[in-house]
Amino acid sequence: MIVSIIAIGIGIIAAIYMPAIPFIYSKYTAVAIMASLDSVFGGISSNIQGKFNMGIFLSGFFTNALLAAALTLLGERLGADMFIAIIFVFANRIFINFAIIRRYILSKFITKV
Amino acid sequence: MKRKDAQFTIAFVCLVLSFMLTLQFKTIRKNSELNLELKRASDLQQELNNLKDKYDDVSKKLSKTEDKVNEYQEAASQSNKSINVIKKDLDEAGILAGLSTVKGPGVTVTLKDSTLKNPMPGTIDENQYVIHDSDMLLVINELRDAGAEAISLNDQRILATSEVRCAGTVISVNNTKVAAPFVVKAIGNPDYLESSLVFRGGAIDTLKYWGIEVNIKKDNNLIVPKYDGAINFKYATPAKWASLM
Repeated sequence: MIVSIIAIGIGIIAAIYMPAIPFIYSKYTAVAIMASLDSVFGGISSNIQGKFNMGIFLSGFFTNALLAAALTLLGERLGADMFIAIIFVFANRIFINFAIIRRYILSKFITKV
Repeated sequence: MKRKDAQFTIAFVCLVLSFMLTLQFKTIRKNSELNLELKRASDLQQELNNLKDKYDDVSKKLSKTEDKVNEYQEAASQSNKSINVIKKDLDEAGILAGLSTVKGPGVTVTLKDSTLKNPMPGTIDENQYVIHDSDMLLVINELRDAGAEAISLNDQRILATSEVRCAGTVISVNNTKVAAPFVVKAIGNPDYLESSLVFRGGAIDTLKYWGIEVNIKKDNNLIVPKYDGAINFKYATPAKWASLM
């Protein structure tokens, strides 16, 4: 737990000292972040359900991010802008996984009246 | 053992995620003024309309202020002799600088693109049948040589800092695009101005060869408009105050 918090701190500090990404690419990094967030939430929710698999989690984390960025790029080249659609898909999955997490937390820590 | 592995992998994932998030926040914040691609077309339209309205308001205010200043100058110069002299200098400088509308005798030169057909489209450059910035500059130069005191191109006053430059199919003057037909107004001696253009081998001859229509009209009461834009000297500063005349 503490290791994760330290890791988060290191990540933030490292990013503060790195130069900013060129603005043109910010669209792609945005989708990549959405994909990463989605796989984190997916990891937590599968952990709750006891179906957690480290391999799937790690591989999913990186490949989803790459695939999301690649799809946005492809959409741009094809002339069919998929940026919003991809964001929608990941936001949707985040909400679904978050609902599972919420139910678990509520059932665990709050007894029914 | 498995627990620790999991912990470190999760920590690694957290590191990557927080790194990406912070980097993205930084990028977006740095470019928040330029955030155009993520804005929708309607937002941009709204912003453009607002800016246009604002520009119109400011323009109106500017002309009102200028009128006020002129009033004060008139009043001051009538009551005080030395101010009168300074005001005269100021008026003359204003003519030279293009800041005041000028009237007087002069010529109006109208140039229209050629209506001739290019007889050999492959060999002869199509561009020769179109008016270029170099043609305009030639005409303006000849007029100046003949003593033109104020010149305007399509109602854009030619200042010392005015550019006359091709911009695609139109010409850019004072950062404003003007298109054919080109109307050059010049104030000076109408006979001299006209003859400076029509002599054999001169500007008109060259242009007429390609069929570019040139029309010169003498006028005894010509009005050349003033420069409308903002004047802003970022690099030049006066070296020493000297009498203007």
